[in-house]
Amino acid sequence: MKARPHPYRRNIRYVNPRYQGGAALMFAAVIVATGTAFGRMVYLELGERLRTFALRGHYPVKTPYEVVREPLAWHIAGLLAGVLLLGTAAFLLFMWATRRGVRHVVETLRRSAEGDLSTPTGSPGLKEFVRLGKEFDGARADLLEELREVRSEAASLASGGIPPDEFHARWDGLKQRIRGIAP
Amino acid sequence: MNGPGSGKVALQIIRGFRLRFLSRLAINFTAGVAVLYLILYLALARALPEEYAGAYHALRGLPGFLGSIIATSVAAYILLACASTAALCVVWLHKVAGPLYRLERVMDGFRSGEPTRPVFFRHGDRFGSLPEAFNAWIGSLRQDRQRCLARMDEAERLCLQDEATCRAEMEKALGQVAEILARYR
Repeated sequence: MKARPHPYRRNIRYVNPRYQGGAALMFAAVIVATGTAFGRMVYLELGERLRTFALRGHYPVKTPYEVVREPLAWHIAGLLAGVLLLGTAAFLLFMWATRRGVRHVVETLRRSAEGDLSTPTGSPGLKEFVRLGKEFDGARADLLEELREVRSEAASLASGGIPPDEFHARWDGLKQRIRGIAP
Repeated sequence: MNGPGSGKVALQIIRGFRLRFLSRLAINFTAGVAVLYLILYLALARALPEEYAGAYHALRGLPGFLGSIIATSVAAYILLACASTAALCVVWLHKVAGPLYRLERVMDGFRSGEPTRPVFFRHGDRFGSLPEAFNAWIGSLRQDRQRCLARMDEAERLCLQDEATCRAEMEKALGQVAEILARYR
């Protein structure tokens, strides 16, 4: 019997070029830097070793590889260690920046739940969180303006001295506006 | 659900994610370095000629080709490692990028006045505190909205009595609405 695909299967997509692409570029920089450094060092050292060896009168080897085996092994080990260390450091730095950005957004949301809609998110670091923070700040600013207007209208109506017809019309309008908050 | 237990679980999930990502990153890098080594080995492990002059010329000439051999091996390493790491970033960081993308879309909807549904992340997504905080914020807003509307509805019910009582109750309700909304700054 043919297995049916899971209805809630994760749909992996390249949804965020700034975030996913930024991380890929960061690792690419590590790979290119280590590869270039390796290439330069190996070219200089192996070339020199082969030239020196060729000037000897006696060749107790069957392949050029035997001449360069030892320094090449050290360079390969150095490349692997370097790329692993730098890659790990870059990843941990990236995750730290991500967690920091998320923490700022979460703190902003918690402050908003307590009524503070004006303190800016101020997400540091990754551009993605700066953008998300600005998005939140914009939404909070719009909301605060709306709430201030509703409050001001409520206070104005509560102060009295308004003719009954106008009062009821504004009362209905105010109710409608309140219904529009966080629909 | 926000007790110390859930915090420990979240920390373990994050640590597990880091370790799995780093192990795959190490596999990618090792594969790239292995290909680099293989190319260098295949190029340098060719047998030298038996006679002295041939071996001498082969060894003297090799440094001239060494640059292109190394460049080829380094290019293969860079291409392989970069391609596999880019794929890793797309697939694995989707667990972080996906929730951020969803939250951005919800915020866009919120700003344009669309009904805001509670945000829930998928199983395996990172940073579960984000939807919790967002839902709590929207929840508190809706709670205040309901309190305001309930107070206004209550005042309207009293309008069945005389006009003066109705007006007095409405003004009292409006004062309370202004008070409820005063916490927003």
